This record gives sequence, structure tokens and C-alpha cells, in this order.
Amino acid sequence: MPRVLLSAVATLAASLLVLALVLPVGTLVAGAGLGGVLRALADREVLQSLLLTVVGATVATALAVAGGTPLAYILARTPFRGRAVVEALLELPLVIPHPVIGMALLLAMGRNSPLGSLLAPIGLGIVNSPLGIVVAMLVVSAPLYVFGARESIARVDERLESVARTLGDDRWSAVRRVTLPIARNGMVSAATGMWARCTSEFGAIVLVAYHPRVASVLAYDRYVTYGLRDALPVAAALVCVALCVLLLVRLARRAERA
Amino acid sequence: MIRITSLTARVPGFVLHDATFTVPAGGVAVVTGPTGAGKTTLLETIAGVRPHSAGTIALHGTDVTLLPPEARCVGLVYQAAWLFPHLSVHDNIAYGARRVDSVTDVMHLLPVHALLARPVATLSGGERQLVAIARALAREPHTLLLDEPFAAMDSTLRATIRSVVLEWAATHGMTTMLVTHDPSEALLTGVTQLRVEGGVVTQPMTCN
Repeated sequence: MPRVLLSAVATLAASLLVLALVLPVGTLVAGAGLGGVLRALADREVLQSLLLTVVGATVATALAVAGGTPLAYILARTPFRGRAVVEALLELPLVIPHPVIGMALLLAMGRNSPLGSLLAPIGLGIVNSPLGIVVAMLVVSAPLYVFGARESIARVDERLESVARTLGDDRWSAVRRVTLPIARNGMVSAATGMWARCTSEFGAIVLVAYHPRVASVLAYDRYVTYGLRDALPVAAALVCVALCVLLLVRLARRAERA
Repeated sequence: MIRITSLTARVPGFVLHDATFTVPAGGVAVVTGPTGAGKTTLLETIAGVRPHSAGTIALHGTDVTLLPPEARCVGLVYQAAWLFPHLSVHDNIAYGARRVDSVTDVMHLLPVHALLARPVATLSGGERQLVAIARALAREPHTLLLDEPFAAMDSTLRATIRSVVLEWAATHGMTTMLVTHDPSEALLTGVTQLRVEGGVVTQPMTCN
């Protein structure tokens, strides 16, 4: 195939993909209009649900970073028997339908489960609670961070750690002073991706915590109760907030590189 | 002194067999052998960054076989330098220094002053090796393990830096192992000669 034709086909394919990604969301935001988004943001219920979504996603991401970073390091650096099985289990939430994860959470931590009956009396029940929202977001999205961080860490050559060890660092210091700073950009990208995924989570949350409503559940609730016109501003506001945060993260990283 | 006794180390697809040799305190051992023979594995095992499966390693009169790398007081310089890319040249050199003075001393010893302001990513291969050597010397190790550390330098600079580093090491009582493919380094006089081939270390002769 001539090079020009190949180039044209590649450009067309890329353009179609961009269109497929942008068109639905763009239509949604355009449908709501700026006025609709601003009215939605002035609606107390919408504002509370957006706040709950953003805070829940941030807490879930922080928990994933705290627990997922050591896990990512082990997966990147330590060969052990059964690692493929462990990785497959960790990746499972990415490939099974999220309502199924919601059901699994209810079975494992719901009011009638042994764990849930222990946690509920001390205010740590997951059903219809902010904690449930965070847990659902965490379980569904944490693999995105763990595997992203693992790839970033794996790209840092182990010999850099070896040199740091001969320069007086113990293993933890070498990781803290050398590996993590070098892998940081990739890890921030992974955390940003996870955060974005958390804000859009619906399937697991709707089963575990219909109340208090996160933005996705509120948009769905308004859609089934009042129809598309009333759901549109809420959905558009969620898109705008997520877009703003993603843009801010990218701008911050660009400023840091400059 | 470096005293290695029946040292065996396994890496995927390769075994360093039963190495036994001694390098006198403050002396130099030149390690030669074909690519893939196990020279780097030998240095890494002595440094403790690669696990051994049998044998003992004694450095500077102490059995360090079970000690972690940070407790062995070794300086390890790779051919690829492995500078820390997120740090400046100065911070690389000062990374493991125990004293501020040792950083200053090393900067006077080696021509690295002109490099201090440059990002690590912009250094040439030879410049990276210079910085890596400075970083190892600033730590003031008892044992210096050099894995083709001058390979990317031009021949004039290479001879000068080699001479300066070995003299500095001798003055400071460091015992040095130098892996090389350079025939002129392989024939250095007054050094212990070690040959590594197929994971087997032999000590053909000592040049005097």
C-alpha cells in the first residue's frame, strides 16, 4: 500500500476514534449548555453529590496509593511463585461487571455478613454510607493504580537501587530516595487515572450505597425519575468537574517539567 | 584486603563457580575475561547487591558475607554509570558522602567542576563515568569495585583518570578490583591478575 494512502487511513482511523470518544460527551455538555451546568452547580443536592464524589474519589485514591505502592513495588521487583495468579486476582475488578463487585461487597461486608455485623455497630457499615462509596470506588479502581505504578517502578533499573545501597542506603531508603522519585510521574498518572475512574463509578456504588448519592447515582436517579432533560445538567456538571481536575493535574505536571 | 573463598552465585542461566582468590590490602586486582564470563556478577556479589549461594566474602579484615551492601563499605562503579537522573551532578556526587570535605576533595581530584551545573541527562558517556567514579570515591569506601569505569572515555583522559583514581585509592588504603577489556589496563604492573571465563575465576599470575 502506498505510504500516502497508509497515512490517510491511519489519520482517518485516529480521527474516527477521537470523534467516538468526544462526540457523546460533547453532545451531552452542549445539550445541558453553560446555563444548565451553572444552574446544576447552584443546586444544593447536585453540589453535595459532586463534593461527595470528589472527596470519595480522593480518599479512595489516597488509600490505594498508601497500600498499592508497596504492592506495586513487590510485583515489580520480587519474583515469587504464583505471581501470575496474584496479578490475575488483583486485575479481576477491571474485567468483571461492576454491579457484580457491588454484590460481592454486599455479601462480604453487608449488614448480614459476619464482617458487616461487626463493623456496623461501630459506625463502619458500608451500606448506604460514605464509607461504602469509598470502598466500592477503591475495589473497582485500585487495580488501575497498582498496575500503573508497577509498570513505572519496573522501568526504573534495579542497578540504580544497587548503587544507592553501596552508597549507604538500606533497601527502604534506596526505594524512597531513588526509585519512587524516578517513577513518580508514572505513578501520578496512574493515580490520576484511578481518581478519574472513581469519579465515574456507578455500577458498584449503586448497589452498595444508593444514598448518599454520588454524582453518577444522582444523574441516574434524575434520569429514571424525571427524564433525560433533568438528568442532563447533573451529568454535564460531573463531566466539567472531572475535566477541570484532569486538566489541572496535566498543567501542574507540565509546569513542573518546565 | 579482599578474601574470597569458594564463592558461588547463581543468576538466571549463569553460575559463578567456586571463586577463591585474595587481593592484598590497598592493592589492585585487574579482572579480565570475555563478555558474559561473569565479571560483573563477581563484583555485584562481592558488593552484596546480588545474593550468593555459597562461600564467604571478607573485606578489610571482616567477614561481610551476611551483611547487606550498605554495611560492606564498598564503592561500585558500573560501565553504564547509573547516575541518579532526578538529581543534579553535585547531588549525585554527594549522595553517599559521609563528610562534606570528601565531596570537595573528590571535586578537586577529578575534572567534574564544569559538569556540576549540567543536568545528568545531557552528560556524555565519559562524563557520566567521571561523575560515577566521583560519587563512589566521595563515599570513602574501603573496597572499590570498578566495572569498566573508563570504557567511555577517550584514551588520553582514560589513562589520566585511571592513574589518578588508582593512586587515590592506594593513598587512602582502598583495595580495588578493576574489570577491563583494555589490554593496557590488563597489563598493569604490581597488580593481582584475575581471569574470569564461563563463571570460573582463575588467578594466572601477579605482575610485579
